[in-house]
Amino acid sequence: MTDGYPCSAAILPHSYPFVLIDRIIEREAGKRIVCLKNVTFNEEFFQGHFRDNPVMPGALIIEAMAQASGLIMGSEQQGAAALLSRVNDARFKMPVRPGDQLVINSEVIQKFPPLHVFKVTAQVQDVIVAEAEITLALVS
Amino acid sequence: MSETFRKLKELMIARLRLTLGPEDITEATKLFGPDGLGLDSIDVLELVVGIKKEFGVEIIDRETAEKVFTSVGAIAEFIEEKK
Repeated sequence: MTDGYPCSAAILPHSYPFVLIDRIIEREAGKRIVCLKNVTFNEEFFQGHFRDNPVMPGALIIEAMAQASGLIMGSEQQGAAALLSRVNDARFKMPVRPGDQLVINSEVIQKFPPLHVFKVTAQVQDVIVAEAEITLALVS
Repeated sequence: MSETFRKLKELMIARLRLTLGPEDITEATKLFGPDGLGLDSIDVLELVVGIKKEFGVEIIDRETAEKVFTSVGAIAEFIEEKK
């Protein structure tokens, strides 16, 4: 599979319809990552969230941030799964709507195996729309 | 009671949001289990970060952590040794 697509990084065990990363833009293994998620009107959740006012659920933005963070660890521990352990200081500053391109930046700020803490932001057109500190447990 | 122990108790109560007063924690207070503070691995990570910030003492690996994070007194002793 082409480099840059998240499934090629092996550690992301997610598959359709739950891959919330479309492309990896930059990746420094074990340190940081920049990922992209294109949000389209066809996303299933927009049917009900909300019918006349499509807004991407905050919980799914957090999930996309967690998936991006998991991809940082990709080559470090082959075969391990990254499970969400903690979400701190999550803020949703602007609604994310169909047509938006989410650029997710994540960097490792603390390692205490198996726990890894990441500082993550999601931007749309250079404006931060959401941010959080996410802890993943890397378990084999 | 050492200054380190007093500061450590304050740090634990604040950072781990314990519903205890400093007088409820002694040097023998265990960190884990029902007869201790009942902490989990995320609390330990929070403590590691707090101890680094407050005392400048780093605990990097699990092995050290397992030795140090037994009782509140053991942590205070470790900090005094290292700082």
